[in-house]
Amino acid sequence: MRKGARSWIWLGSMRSSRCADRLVRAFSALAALVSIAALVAIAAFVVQGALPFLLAEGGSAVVGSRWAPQAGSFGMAPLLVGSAVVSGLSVVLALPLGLLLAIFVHTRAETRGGRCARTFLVILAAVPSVVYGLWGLTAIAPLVRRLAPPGPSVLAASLCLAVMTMPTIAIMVDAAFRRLPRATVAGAAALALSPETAIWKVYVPAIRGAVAAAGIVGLARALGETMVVLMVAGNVVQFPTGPFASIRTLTANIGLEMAYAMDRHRSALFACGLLLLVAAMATAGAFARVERRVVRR
Amino acid sequence: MTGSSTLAPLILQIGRRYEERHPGVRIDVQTGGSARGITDARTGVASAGMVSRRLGAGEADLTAHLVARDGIGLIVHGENPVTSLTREQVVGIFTGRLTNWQAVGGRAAPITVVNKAEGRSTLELFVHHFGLENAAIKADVVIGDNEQGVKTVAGNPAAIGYVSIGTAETDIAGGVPIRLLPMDGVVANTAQVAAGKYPLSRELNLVTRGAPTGALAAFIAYAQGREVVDLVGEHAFVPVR
Repeated sequence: MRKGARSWIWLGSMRSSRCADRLVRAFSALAALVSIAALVAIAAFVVQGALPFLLAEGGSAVVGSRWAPQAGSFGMAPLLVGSAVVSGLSVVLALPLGLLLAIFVHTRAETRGGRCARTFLVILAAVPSVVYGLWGLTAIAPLVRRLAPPGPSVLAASLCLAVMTMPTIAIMVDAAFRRLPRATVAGAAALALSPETAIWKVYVPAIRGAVAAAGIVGLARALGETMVVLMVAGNVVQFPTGPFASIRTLTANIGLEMAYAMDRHRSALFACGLLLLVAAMATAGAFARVERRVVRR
Repeated sequence: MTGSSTLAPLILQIGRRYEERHPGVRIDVQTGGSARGITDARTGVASAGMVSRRLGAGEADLTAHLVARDGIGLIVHGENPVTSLTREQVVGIFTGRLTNWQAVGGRAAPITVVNKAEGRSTLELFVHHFGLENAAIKADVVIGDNEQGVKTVAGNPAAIGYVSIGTAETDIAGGVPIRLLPMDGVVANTAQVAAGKYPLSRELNLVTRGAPTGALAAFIAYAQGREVVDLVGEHAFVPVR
């Protein structure tokens, strides 16, 4: 009797959970549709804004090297290179640091220090970028200036972006450590490897795909960041001649000029946005490829 | 109201306060530059245009209503021993002919030229005042708003830039290590701007086609009046009354 009642309850809960399942599936499909629609709408909006400029100037603007809106020059090559260099350098700085931080957090996961560090990382990842920008402008740029003037530069911007993206990278890598198959961990223990050897020779190689993915997420975040680079990159439109050169990124260009732009100039800024969108999609494509490889393995 | 992006934030706030006190009236504010303010006032798209300069000779069909003034001052770091620069020296520095403070009586250090981004009316006014061309300016750092200009100069003892005098005064009073240089021999402060004696200043106008009437006239009078002096000050502009 008792057994029968229990199985009835079990069946009932299963029926309701099946209903809930269906609801969840419907909602997640809806959410997916909305996000895809939003992406398409954004892309269409940007293309529409950029179209007058693209029709008039074509793709030649992308390779032009002089950006002087009032003189009618809209060369975007220095902006594109600026974006690539600043965000690329930021990942080069942030990835090793993020990996080391994740190792620290993971190996001390059960201690108070490890727990504190993890909480700290989550808080750091949530700091608004304008705060990093102000810090960069008042602390990092003057520091870089001591090495070589003017201070606001490729290096200053990359440093700020690295500090900004590092927590996200560390959190992603730490999560990958925690997802390691039990067999890998047990295998390393069975071989009586020291913790250091286990980490560097077994764990890190096992999650290298996740590390690459974390780097790409960091790159995407750095590429799209506006406030920080606007404040600390210097914003002079030129090809970077070194780490201390003042440069302008695509995002900073839009942020600086959009409010004051009309007609052709405005459309050219939309074209900058389109260029950014393409770069972001390329980054997302690279991310998807790395993910696939990780899953296959 | 459409036009100048310098004036828009102020008019937006004045508009909100006015709406609170006069239910039934709605003030819409859109930016697009002084040129759009002129066009929209002419075509009637906007009730009034926002124009951050004096009206020109070809614009006699419009009536200007002065809301506030804005002065632009040269700023250097507080530790910079240079107390004044001649017109030629300023031009030399901003065109990259003079690249070291030693050349203008300061300590030996390469000059960091801080310029505004293109399209900002502060830049246009500055360039016009010194007879420069945008393309001729050799900038080391390009900035957006006044506050970024102040922070950039405050963090660099060898920098020179130009910002709204109201912003600079507020920051200096707050202990930020920058100094305003006199312009063509006139001390740079809001009192001189208010008196109309400061050479590098501009009018911030609402412009209408013909004399405004009814609700529009009431709003313009309100925007020029004593009740919004605090808002004008908040935006680092100089009240006219």
